Amino acid sequence: MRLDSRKLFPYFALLLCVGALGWVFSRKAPAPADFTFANGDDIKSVDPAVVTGAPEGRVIGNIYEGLLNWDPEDLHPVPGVAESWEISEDGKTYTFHLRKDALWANLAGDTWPVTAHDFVYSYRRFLDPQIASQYAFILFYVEGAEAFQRGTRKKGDPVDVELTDPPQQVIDDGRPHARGEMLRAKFVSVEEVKIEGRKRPARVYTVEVDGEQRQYSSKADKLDDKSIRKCRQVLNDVESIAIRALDDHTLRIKLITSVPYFINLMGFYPLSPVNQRCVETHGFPAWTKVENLVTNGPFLMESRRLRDRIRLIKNPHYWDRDKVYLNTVDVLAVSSDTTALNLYMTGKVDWILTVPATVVPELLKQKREDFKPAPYLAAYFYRVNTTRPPLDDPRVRKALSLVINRQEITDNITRAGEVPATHLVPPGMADYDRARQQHRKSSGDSAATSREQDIKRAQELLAEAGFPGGKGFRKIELLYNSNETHEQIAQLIQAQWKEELGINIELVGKEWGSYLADQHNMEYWISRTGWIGDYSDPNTFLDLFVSDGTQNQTGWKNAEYDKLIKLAAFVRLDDSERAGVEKGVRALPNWSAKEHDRLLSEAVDLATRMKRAEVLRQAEEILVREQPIIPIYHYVSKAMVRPYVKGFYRNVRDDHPLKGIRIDQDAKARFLKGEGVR
Amino acid sequence: MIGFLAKRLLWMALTLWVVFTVSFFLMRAVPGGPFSEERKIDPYALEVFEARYNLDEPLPVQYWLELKRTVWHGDLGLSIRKVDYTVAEIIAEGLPISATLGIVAMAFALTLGITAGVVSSVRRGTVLDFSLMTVATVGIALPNFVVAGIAIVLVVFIWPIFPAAGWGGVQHVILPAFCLGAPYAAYIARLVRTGMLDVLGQDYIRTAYAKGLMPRRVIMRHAMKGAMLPVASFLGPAVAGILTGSLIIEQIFAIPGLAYNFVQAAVQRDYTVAMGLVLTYTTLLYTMNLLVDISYSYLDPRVKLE
Repeated sequence: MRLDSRKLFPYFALLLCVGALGWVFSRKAPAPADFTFANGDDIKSVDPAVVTGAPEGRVIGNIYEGLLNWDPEDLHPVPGVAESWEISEDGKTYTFHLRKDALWANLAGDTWPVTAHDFVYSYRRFLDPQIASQYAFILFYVEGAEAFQRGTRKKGDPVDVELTDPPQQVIDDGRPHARGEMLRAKFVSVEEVKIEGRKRPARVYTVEVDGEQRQYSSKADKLDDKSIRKCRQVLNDVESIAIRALDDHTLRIKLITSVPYFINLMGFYPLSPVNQRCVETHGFPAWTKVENLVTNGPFLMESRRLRDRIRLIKNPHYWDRDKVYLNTVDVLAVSSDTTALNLYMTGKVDWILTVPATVVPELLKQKREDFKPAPYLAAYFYRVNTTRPPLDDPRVRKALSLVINRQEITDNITRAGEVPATHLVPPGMADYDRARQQHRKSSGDSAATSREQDIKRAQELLAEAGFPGGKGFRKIELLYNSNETHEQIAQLIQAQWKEELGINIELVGKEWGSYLADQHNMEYWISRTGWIGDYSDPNTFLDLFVSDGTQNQTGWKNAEYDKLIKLAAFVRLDDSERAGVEKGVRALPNWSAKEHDRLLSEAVDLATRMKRAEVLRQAEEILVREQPIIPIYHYVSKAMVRPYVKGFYRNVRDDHPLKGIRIDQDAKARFLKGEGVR
Repeated sequence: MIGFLAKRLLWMALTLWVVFTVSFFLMRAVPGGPFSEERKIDPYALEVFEARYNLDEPLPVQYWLELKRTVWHGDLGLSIRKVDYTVAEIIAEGLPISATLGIVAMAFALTLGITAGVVSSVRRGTVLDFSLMTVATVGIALPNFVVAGIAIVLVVFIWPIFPAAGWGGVQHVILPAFCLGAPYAAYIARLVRTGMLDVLGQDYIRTAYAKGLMPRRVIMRHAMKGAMLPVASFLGPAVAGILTGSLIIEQIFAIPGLAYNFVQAAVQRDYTVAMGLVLTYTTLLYTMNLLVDISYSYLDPRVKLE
């Protein structure tokens, strides 16, 4: 018996191998989609409220639709679910009129109308402290929103205590964000109670329910006082958020101040609505699975495989379906840029986001029609820890910045036409560019000082700060996340600082997580940073460095800067400025009264925008003068897209909605034949 | 046999527990956390997230909660970074893909390796032996990504018979499997050659020849078996390694296997996913070694399982 099984063993092993191989070889690749693109890394989630990345945006932006969309050519807001909107005279009240033919849809073919209530629900959910959306701040201009998300309230304010039971429940009583049962109460006070061994204290809320005081805490089970009851959280009354559905198709949002770019934000993907029924029926994370997911965008998600592909199909119920030309789209998760380029070159992928720096010169030399680096809303800069001497001295920081030869970096290392930068905000935003230009003209500031002058000035500054020729300057470190390009740039700068200023620095390359931890905890001297703008407004960059802002991370504080950033949101024309604009418009010849009014309102709008841009520019000037950051260059988009892809426009956000993209089949056939691929 | 298995399983449980403990504390000792991103997380949000994953508890409590969930409920938890997925789902999606690739790679490695090893040992000292062993040495020395790079240039661009990357049909498997298997093939070839040379000099082979058996039969039936022992012991860890995937091959060929998840989980401090994958890898490694031990007793009658 034993002998037999021994004889059988090799055959058994062979059979196993053959069986496995047979299974492998019976696999079939899915049919290619109409349009395929490499989306960088895997997406984190399809829940618009919890993601922050660009790859997520490229999926979520196409399966959901917010109130507005962005025009693919110049990113101005265009109708989405809202077919029209009005902004009140004071710029604070937005009224959106929702189209009646917008529908929710799932793969099974069920549909439900999209209503204003869906947006109320979604925005409340977006602001829910338990969702803890990283982008919550974009709604903080809405009345009551920040207080709701942060849980700030006064004694006597109505609050809702979310109880721990029932554990999951669909509630349909006007408090639709709820997951547990809600108890209406009046806020009395909150105190923090330290718990032994835990890094955070528990918050104990005292509230008044029907005239009786009770105490609640989410950590009640960890506290000694057993009279404290357990709750999930204590929320402000949701009605305190000024987002209201006036009827099924009218949504009103009230802001605390007029924010010029607020309307732009309404097209930003985190503000996409989610379907309440879907979220609450399935719960998290089950509602995000393709078989359960309900969305309202031009595409539906047909399948999703981790790190492989997401297949999108045209949503047949989408209101603007005639403008959706692609029936299937494959979104590939390809983490290596080289691999993405290989796929592109062999015709398997129609659009890639970037190419490896090493091939850039070759691609540029070929003068390819499909590779034209374009300005991109992103900056590469060094943060300086201004709390550590000698970097606390602005003269030192200025000197460090002055001697960097940025041109050499962009010419020899990055090589795709990146723009050497001495300021933070990238070019490409019309108003801001104009404000800069005007300033340059009016101040007669011929920005171009020669490199020799810069170096001389830097040496003087360093000597003034007490380190002539770098003498007595302590050794400092330059932190970056380990990456070939970052390292090369750091080495070059290290050499320049050594040569021109006599300063020795040490390069510290760390893996991503440790690098972030050091930067966030300000355990660094100088640290590399890349920042991509969230929306096309200078504020998305300048807002980073307000004193004590979460993203500041340099320890730099400047009251004047904070004032200007805040002021920019409230900019109005004063009477004399307004009169000036009116006078200018009146001086124009023979307009009809109606045209005159339109022209006047446009002129006032433009003048306001320019005034605001100027305020922001002044803020940036402070930033550049004080130099808590050392700008290096502004990125360019290095995307490649096949010429047969129509309806694809270059823009500063490198944002390309799939709706409106077409494949010119004749051109594609010709092209594929020409290149001999596929 | 049953006693042997029971003992080994007990050891496996113990090993897993040690691995769990060491990984748990190592992961939390590394700076940064699962919520570090370029945009620094808001302190309010951090508080919520840490509470959600029990990361605000003291370490011993966290350890106990994790251990309880893993052992008692058999639940590896939710991924902290890929929030739509549970760890079990991530493994269930990735492991079959890594395994598929691994099986084909192993088939390549064994076929090529054993053939080359046997041929060069039989033709010892000839040009054939020399060239095969040179190729094998180069194969061991060349890193995966170089082999893959050369292969891509050759059979994707110059002679386009395979797709550059991706996953789906059989055409996507061949090239990465070859690149993944090549160093293993080279190593196996050297092992087989050494083993064969060792065996071919032994008395029972001379006896077999003296009985008048055909050389082919002597080599295939008698010598091969003995020569396979070192290969079998090499195969245990090798199969475990190959089944859980190769980071470099997965990246170059954009294959959605497990290895990249592993590395990404470590980089992003996705504690639950990293832990799930460490445990999966340990289990696989242990199982493979157990199978190797069992296979010894089949390959060599002198080995007794105890």
